[in-house]
Amino acid sequence: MIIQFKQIKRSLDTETILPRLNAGADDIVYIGGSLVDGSVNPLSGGMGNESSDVDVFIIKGGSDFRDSESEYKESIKKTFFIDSKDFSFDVIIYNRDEIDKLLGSIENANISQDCRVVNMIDWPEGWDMTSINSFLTRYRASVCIYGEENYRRLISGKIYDTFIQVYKRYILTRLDDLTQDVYGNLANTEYETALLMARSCAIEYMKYILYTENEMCDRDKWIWLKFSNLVHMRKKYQDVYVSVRRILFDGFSGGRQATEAFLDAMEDTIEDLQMEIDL
Amino acid sequence: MDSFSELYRKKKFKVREIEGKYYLYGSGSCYLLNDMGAIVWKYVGKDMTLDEFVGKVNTKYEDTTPAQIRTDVDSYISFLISIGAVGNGKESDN
Repeated sequence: MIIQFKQIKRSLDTETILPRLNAGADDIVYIGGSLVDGSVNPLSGGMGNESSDVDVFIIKGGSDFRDSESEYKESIKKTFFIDSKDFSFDVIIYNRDEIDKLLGSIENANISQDCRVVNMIDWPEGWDMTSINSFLTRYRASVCIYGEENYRRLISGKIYDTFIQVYKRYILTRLDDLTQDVYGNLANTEYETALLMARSCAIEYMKYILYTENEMCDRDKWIWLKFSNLVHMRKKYQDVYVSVRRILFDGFSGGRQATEAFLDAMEDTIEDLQMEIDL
Repeated sequence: MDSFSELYRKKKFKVREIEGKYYLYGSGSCYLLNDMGAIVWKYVGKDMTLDEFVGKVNTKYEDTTPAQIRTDVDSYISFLISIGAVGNGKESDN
């Protein structure tokens, strides 16, 4: 299978990577991450660039998972890396048994209004809200390259719907906490701190709107791009866009030049702080 | 070269300290710097003449001679230029 990454004008022949993955008969192998998301999801247009790795995910049955080799090991996943001429691959192996436990827990989630958000899902060990969100976000915006039938059957629409409900409640809880902090700092005349907190609010606010529109995101760095794409398609968020843009970027007119100048200064300072050696 | 201000560091190269050692990395390569290499890197682009630099190094490392220091600095600068980490002239001219 050839996958075109239009944003970097390069393509990936999955046959070049498959033989290096040792996939078993019942395994599922799919590729995801920003380059794939940016290629398959209209709301993710612009995602992925020359520096982006390609994420390869393998879901393996329990004993095959335990026997598989890797550079990093956690209870639910293992990771290793492959470099090829055109791409760097992060290969993440998930334990099928743990995935099944997780999906069962989401299916049985208690999404009633009186349930605290942390108790809505009976978390299997090794998972938290961030890792579940990441797993589901990347699975949803992925391309299967092996085990197509198992891939299609693994996660139902209901799982995504339920998780999105839970995650929206989770974001709202964070927004409530952040908002209190903003007001507290305003009352204390700590305006710069209040502004920083308000900017964190803006990130969560965009996330909330994306999830309300049935869109997922697991990296804050892509929130603005996805949200901007959404606003192009759903004009009703135009006012939200203006207010978020104001709190995040008002007064920022330097664009590329200011960003590069900031990075240069930051790199120089970090280097100076690190290099204690001197004459 | 008479002064370190005649040189500039290329943006894609950085030095990071890891467990007391200095590593210069960029363009997909990584180089371990010794103390002299780290100090030379630190002064690239700074307003210091080579004579001043040699004098200061000679004060700090008394077992070296000014001639040896000059040779070391020249070879380090040549090395840094050869790997593309340092350029000649002002950065804005390039």
